[in-house]
Amino acid sequence: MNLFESFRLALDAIRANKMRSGLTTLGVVIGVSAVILLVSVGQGMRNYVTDQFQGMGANLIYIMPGDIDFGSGEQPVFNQKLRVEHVRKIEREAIYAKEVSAGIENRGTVKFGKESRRPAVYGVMANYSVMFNYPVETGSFITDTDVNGNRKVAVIGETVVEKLLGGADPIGRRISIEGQKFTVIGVLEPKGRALGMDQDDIVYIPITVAQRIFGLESVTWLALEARDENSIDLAVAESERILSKSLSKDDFSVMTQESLLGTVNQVFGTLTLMLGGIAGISLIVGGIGIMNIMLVSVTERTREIGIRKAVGAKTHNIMIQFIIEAATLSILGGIIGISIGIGGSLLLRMVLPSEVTMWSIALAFAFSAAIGIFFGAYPAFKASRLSPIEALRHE
Amino acid sequence: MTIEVKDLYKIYSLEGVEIHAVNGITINIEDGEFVSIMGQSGSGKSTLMHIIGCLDKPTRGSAKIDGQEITDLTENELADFRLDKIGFIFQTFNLIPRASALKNVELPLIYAGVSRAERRERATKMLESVGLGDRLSSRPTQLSGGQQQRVAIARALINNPKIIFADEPTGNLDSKSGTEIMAILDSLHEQGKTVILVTHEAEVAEHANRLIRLFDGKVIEDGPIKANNTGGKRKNELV
Ligand SMILES: Nc1ncnc2c1ncn2[C@@H]1O[C@H](COP(=O)(O)OP(=O)(O)OP(=O)(O)O)[C@@H](O)[C@H]1O
Ligand SMILES: [Mg+2]
Repeated sequence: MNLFESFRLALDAIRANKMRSGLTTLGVVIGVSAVILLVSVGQGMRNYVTDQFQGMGANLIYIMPGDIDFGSGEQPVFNQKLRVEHVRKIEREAIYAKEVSAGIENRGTVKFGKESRRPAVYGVMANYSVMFNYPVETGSFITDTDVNGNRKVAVIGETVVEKLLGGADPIGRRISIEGQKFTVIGVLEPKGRALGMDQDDIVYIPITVAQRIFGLESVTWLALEARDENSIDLAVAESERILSKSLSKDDFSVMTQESLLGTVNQVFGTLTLMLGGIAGISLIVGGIGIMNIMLVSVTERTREIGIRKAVGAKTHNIMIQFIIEAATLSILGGIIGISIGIGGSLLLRMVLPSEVTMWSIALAFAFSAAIGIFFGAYPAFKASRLSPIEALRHE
Repeated sequence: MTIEVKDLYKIYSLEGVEIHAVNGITINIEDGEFVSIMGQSGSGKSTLMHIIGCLDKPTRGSAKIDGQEITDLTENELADFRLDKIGFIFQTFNLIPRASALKNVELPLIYAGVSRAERRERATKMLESVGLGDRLSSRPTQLSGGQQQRVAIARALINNPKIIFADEPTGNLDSKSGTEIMAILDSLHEQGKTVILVTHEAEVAEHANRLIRLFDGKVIEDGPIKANNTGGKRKNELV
């Protein structure tokens, strides 16, 4: 009896036991697709955030208020002691910083005619657009003159143009922000959605004006751009020294792209592990499903093995047939599971960043297939060692 | 194909109690004999048949088929014996429930390495010869008891065995189906095969030439069949 006949016997058995075959396959499908999907979400988020930081420019240094260095493991301190004057100080004293900027991030009521909405309202300086690479599409960005002269001008995002101004040419229009009249001078290039947030639902105004209308002295962040790659560390040390003159160590946190990426990787490493844990549970659930089906049908299969042996089947004939049967179901389930996992991940991409990884496919597939083959073949192995009469008597 | 059984024992122990299902049996069966084995329930008929039919192993003793000591054989060598030399017919048919009549009959040929086309042809012919030529693709559950037993006989005969074991082949059948089955066994005997039959029914036993009676795992009677020495129930006595 050759391998081809074993294959045929196995396929006959699969066809004859549609329920058992279907449920076993389903167990593998659940395990494999869940793992691929969940890991793809974790990986996708991590890649997304990493890309975002990388897109900001390698030579940027961020200074946030309070002590919020996540990597250090120390208890964070939250306070609001960063001011616009710190920008001026660094500008005056620093050698290694090419650009220095600050921003205020808030939300505000913006009105045009009868329309009203609450987009993000950011107070920024003139160099913001260049430093963070957010160019305007039409019109111009906020200038130093606008900042120094407390001019009520605004640069708005695509969503605000559409939803608030009804798509009308926005340049020169008068809109009201927190009850004050502003002139629109520019529209930003659309940035699209990220993590479910509309990045174009935004209004930029001069930082000095933002301080007034929101009644704020503090700024949300400072940022500097080092002269070049080699001066990043020098610029960090320099700005820390300058700020320490008027602030304590707990009042500000200096971060570079490198240190931020480190933190991101740390946070997402944990997230991926968590998702992996959930995925592991679905693997186990799928595995238990497979196990149950296989064990429930042990009596039936043991009797069938008894019949086959009684008419002359040898131990290895039986084993090969059952291993092929289990492997076929597992591989079939694996292929369906991988398709669903990848397809689902592509669908998910509409709302969440997701990225299928090879290792999750390999892991899920190997695990489910191993369970399928083990629980398919192990009872058969035990039964194939019984005498035909013992197998036929099995209860 | 002679069968020589000497001092054969099969002892089961259940919770410390020993059951001597076969308790020292010695018999010789010549090539081409038709033997009936009778005896009350639990006397060890099936156990004996399973051992000399290579389906089970004895606790001790010797059993030779055609001079070959079968108690020495490995599980795989026994499988070859069952495949080539023995056809076994069970009271409960033992067909694979989810396979067609044709697939069930083809089964031994698969393990014998016969090609697909030849398998199909031989199994079809065999089913035709037991009167089931029109039920090739029926599953066991779609067949009557008598039809199922005929499928089982076709399967037992498909690889042309020299010895046929039939353990109460008519036990689950009505008298008409029983008569059909016995006609098949008679013709096998006429073809020169050795037929060993277990039964409780006198009329069935009388198809054989020789009667072996067991009691508590031992042979208590062994000789040619005479009318009225079978001691079983007769159908007409039951009415
Ligand atoms: N697997 C087993 N474990 C324990 N005892 C067994 C086993 N198989 C058979 N026996 C015992 O061996 C004895 C002989 O059983 P066997 O089936 O050979 O009887 P039998 O003559 O075929 O009876 P019947 O006419 O009812 O079929 C019985 O007492 C039975 O209980
Ligand atoms: Mg019996």
